[in-house]
Amino acid sequence: MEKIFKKPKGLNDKTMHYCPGCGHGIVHKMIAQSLEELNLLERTIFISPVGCAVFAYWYFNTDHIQAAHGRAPSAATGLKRANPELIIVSYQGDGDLASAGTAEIVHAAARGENISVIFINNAVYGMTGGQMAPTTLVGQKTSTSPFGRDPHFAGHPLKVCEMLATTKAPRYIERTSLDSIANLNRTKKAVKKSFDLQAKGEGFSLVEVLSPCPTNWGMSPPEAMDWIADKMIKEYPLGVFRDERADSEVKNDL
Amino acid sequence: MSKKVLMKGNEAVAESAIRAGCKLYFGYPITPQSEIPEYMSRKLPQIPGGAYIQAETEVSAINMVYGAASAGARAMTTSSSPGISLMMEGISYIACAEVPCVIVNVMRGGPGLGNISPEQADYFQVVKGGGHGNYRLVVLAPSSVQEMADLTYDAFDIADRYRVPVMLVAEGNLGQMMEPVEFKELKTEFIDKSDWALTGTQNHEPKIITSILLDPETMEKHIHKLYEKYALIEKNEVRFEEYLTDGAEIIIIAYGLISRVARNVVDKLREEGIKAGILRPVSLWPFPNEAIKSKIKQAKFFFVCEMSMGQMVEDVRLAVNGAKPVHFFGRCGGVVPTPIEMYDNVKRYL
Amino acid sequence: MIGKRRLTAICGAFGTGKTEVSVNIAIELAAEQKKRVILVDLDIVNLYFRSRDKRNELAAKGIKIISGAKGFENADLPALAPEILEVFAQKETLVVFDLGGSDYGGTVLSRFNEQLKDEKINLWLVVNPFRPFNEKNKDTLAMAEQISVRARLPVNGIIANPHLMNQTTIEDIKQGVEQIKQLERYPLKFLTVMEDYYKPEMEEEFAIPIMVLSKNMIQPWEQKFTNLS
Ligand SMILES: Cc1ncc(C[n+]2csc(CCOP(=O)(O)OP(=O)(O)O)c2C)c(N)n1
Ligand code: SF4
Ligand SMILES: [Mg+2]
Repeated sequence: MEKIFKKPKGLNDKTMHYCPGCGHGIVHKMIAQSLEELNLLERTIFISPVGCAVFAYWYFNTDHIQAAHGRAPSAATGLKRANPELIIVSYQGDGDLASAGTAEIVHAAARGENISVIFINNAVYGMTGGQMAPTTLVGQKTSTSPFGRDPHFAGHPLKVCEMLATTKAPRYIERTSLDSIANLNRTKKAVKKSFDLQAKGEGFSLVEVLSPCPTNWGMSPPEAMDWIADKMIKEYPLGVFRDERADSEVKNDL
Repeated sequence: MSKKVLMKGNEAVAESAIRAGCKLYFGYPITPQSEIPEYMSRKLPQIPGGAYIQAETEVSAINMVYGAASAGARAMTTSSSPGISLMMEGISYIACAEVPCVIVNVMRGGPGLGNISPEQADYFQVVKGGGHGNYRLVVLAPSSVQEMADLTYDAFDIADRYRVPVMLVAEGNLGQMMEPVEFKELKTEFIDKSDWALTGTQNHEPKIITSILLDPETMEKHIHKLYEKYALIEKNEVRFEEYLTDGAEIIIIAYGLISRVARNVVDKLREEGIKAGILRPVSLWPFPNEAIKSKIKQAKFFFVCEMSMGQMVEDVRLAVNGAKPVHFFGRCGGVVPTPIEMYDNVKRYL
Repeated sequence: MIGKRRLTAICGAFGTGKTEVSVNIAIELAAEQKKRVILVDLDIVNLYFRSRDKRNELAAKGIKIISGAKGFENADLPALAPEILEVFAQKETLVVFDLGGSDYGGTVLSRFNEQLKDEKINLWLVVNPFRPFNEKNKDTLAMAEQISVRARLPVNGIIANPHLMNQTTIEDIKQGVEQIKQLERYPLKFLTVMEDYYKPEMEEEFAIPIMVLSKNMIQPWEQKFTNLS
């Protein structure tokens, strides 16, 4: 635990704008720590999404680019192809990745772009006021599902890890959570592994983090953690969905 | 053998972009511009550091360009009208974030899915905005395959010089037709981008490329900065071409391929002793306002011809500002006007 | 110049002048042999500047055009008209196939492999060394091989079409012909020269038959004002 709250070199001294108990800040620290531990900070370009993390650049001591809603994987593709030496951290929320940018993430994964996607699933559109997201649980009340998400009208939650794991190219896909110390440690390990794989040129990786949004869930931070443990993990089972190198059958020797 | 090669307009764009140092191309197939991604997919993988990526949509393609250009590379995407509509979001972001890049629009008939025939009906969209917010897009309109090549080459320089997106617009048949073309040498010297391009923080403080400026005062300041740049572009980058305008009383204004139909008409009118000439805008923005104004005194009337229901004509009217009549003739839906009908229409006003 | 075979297919890299050459061959056949001529436009790759756009003018010369499925001529669809099959049955008609660009153009012909089993066909490659993919003979030969594979028929002749549109000089033609003559693997059938710059003494100078091309694909900006009152 102690380690998690030590200020890593990758973060500056500014106080984060996230609500108390928000998961974004926790994952930011893990990202900064991992980059520092792997000695990758100086090569990193952080891509912030549209969502509560849009201002992530206020905090990171790295180069930074802000992408349009859902388009971070495309900007990541361009950056990485232009300069393969860069380490690309594509950071996205669930509205951003699983709704506005569904096409972009699926195809970046299918192409096996050598980037790291950190995907914060808080089951709502945090920034715009807690509206229903594609990841909102059935029955979950949000400002645009005031009677609870009704699958007859709004369908069922989209499971990104499971979906992306059906494509062959990704190197590493894992879903973790922030609800317990053990899961925090697992998340940190997964984030670091993702960067390490990228640095070794192994290919696309995505870490989905079940993350609390106490403000829009209308819960205290401890209640929010409990809700993840009781409700979210049931819908979104934790675990590794892919951890292998897909050997391409086609060699590029036309 | 002569240094010239025979090329389609689309091929010329692709080859010229490569000569201009563009190694990264992102695109999505659409007629009538598919020769560009086809050419790039053959050539770029053979160039060290080169990549051709077929994006999943035009939305993605323009954002890939945003990323690649932010890393300091020369990057390009191309499409035709419906795909350009999808890129408007990205173009607005790129303009605000001041990232230099080149976009080519080989225009087809619209609105909607329309058809694959040539049109000029995207003028409003690309010249007047298209994307949201206060920004301008430099728009260049070639009228020959040679100019397709030359303006593509120049577009990258303009983009880098001012850190703006630049768009080339060509009618579908200009992309498809073949003409002899000569290419410039491979460019090897580029503007230094180290003060803003994202390369990592080895030697400098963290840099940021963004288009979000929450505080209204800061946003306003940024927009003013953009517009100071635009004023400079208006001062330095206006391009137009004149044909027989010396003493001409009828000033035909037409851009792109249709200006070549107009040449035919002017030759015929001159044969008959009618003093007609052409002013061809090459840069649609910045628009050659002053050049048009300078013809007001000598002109009996201005005659604007477009392959649309009349879009550029509004800019001509603004420039002429009621001082002389401005007549319009256009065909749309993908129909290319014949010299004969253009001639008949000019004669109606004599 | 065309020889005795009833069927001729014209192939080549993108934009080497296949359509212009096909149309001219059809016109020559119609004029010389007094037989029904069908021009089959199989150019499913290029959508602008196709022979089908000249339907009415060619009809006047006794040439019928068969192209994409009716009603879809302006679509970017690779649709073939069902009547294409007729040309194989009507043994009295002469047929010119205008194939699309590059090796993909050959693919369309492969579709008619069954029909082409018992009948010999001219499969001629149009070469213009001023085009990017014909600039080097090694690329031209590679393309000829690819077309043969795709079409499941061997390329069996070359048509030299060296030009730079209306900027062509005699010198250009000379250099172009010299380069094409080195493509020894395939017999050189004839040289094409646009009527605008054709001169009778060229026949002797180049020592190969010359087909003088009349310009059939005229763009709006090239139209003359001859029929104005
Ligand atoms: C094109 C576009 N549509 C809508 C928005 C408004 N918007 C801003 S953030 C957001 C949702 C973000 O939700 P999520 O990605 O889950 O991030 P969170 O705030 O929950 O971390 C939306 C819809 C926008 N900025 N751009
Ligand atoms: S609204 Fe939710 S996601 Fe956004 S900062 Fe607050 S807690 Fe975090
Ligand atoms: Mg969210």
